[in-house]
Amino acid sequence: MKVVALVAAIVLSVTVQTTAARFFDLTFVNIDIPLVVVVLAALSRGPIVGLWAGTLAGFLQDLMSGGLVGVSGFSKSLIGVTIGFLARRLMHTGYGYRILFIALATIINVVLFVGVYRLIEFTTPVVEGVNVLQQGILNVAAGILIVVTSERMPVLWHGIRKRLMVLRIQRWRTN
Amino acid sequence: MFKKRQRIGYLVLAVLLGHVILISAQVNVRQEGNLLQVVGFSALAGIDEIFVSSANAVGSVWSRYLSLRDTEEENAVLRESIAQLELQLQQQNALARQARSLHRLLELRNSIDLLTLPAKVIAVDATPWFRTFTVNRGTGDGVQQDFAVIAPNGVVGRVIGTPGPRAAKVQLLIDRNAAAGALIDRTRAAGVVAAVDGQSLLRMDYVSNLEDVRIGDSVVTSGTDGIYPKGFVIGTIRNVQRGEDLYKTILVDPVVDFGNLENVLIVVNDGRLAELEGVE
Repeated sequence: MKVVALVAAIVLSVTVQTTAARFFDLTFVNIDIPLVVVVLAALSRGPIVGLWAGTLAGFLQDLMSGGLVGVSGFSKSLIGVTIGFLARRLMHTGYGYRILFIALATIINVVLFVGVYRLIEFTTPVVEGVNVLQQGILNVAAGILIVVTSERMPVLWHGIRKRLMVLRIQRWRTN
Repeated sequence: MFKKRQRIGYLVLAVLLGHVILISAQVNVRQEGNLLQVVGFSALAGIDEIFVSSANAVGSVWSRYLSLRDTEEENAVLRESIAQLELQLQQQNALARQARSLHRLLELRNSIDLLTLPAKVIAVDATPWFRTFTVNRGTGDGVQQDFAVIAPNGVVGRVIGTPGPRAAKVQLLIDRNAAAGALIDRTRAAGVVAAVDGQSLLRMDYVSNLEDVRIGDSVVTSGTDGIYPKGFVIGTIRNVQRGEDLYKTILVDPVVDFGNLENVLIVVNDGRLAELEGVE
């Protein structure tokens, strides 16, 4: 069940990544939602999950991209496994910790991604510091949103169910 | 403990090696897409299309029904009715915009002597480092690699990779790997248009310093690349400077607003294009 949920989260993150820009009439959004999902998965579930989450997220992302298939997978699986190991060692929780890892992962991901393209002498994407900073900020914001939503979802769902129940009782009484 | 760590190490190595093999395979034979890529791309494109339609449907349900649920008092009802009218107006405007866009596309389709296929943009590139779109036409509709993609006001890009049965990836002209043979419409000076890194701008290379080029001149496709049909507008010249070597430094503003594209035409190149342009 947890695996299915993780796979669904990764597929959803890639889908949102590729369709969100269309709703804002943009050609692209400088954000990496699948990377955020990989980092959060590695932090909560360890290196093996981080590795597979990174591989899947990167592979799907590459399929929907104009670049080579495997480059994002390579960088994200390496990030997933490294963060998973670090998370096991540090044993911390809290927002600051997650924010730090998302920001670090953004930088490492860009370095690895561009590095692989440089190595194979394929036309390397041009990345400037400001792009990385912008992506880091947006990734952190997306990470906070995902964490807050996933933490509050059960409470929110309970509230909605309660409210629906009250409405149903009110309707039954008026009828 | 040691064994477990060793096992993880081997797994990491195996996965990374797999990625390296995958990348290496493409570096040598990039033109051919494998089955896994085609199937994966098609499946994800399908999900994207469903997601966009669902998001639109949910948005519509939300605005029409759920947002009106809590309107109990008369004042609120009036406010809601105004909101509903505004929403309807917006919907009408959106429909009118869409109709206008489709009408322009139809006009273009009828006015050109090329076999074209209308397509809808369903997704953008999954990484921020490339400029590609996914459209809802694929091999099932006869789409192949290197087919040109155009919009009513100008050139959009070309189909790259192996298209899926119902989806294809389009590399925009503003992608750093894209280029097109071009002419300055007024003087017929030839050159090559390519993207300027990290910007939604184009540059025109290989135009001699001796050529007469002015700001505002229109740049059109030359047809010499065998991909883009001749005479379609690429953009207008924003800036021109005498270069230090033999060629001018020219910046071109693309005419197509890539962020606003909803519908495009795929030029079905069945050999007639080469015949028309006189290019082998």
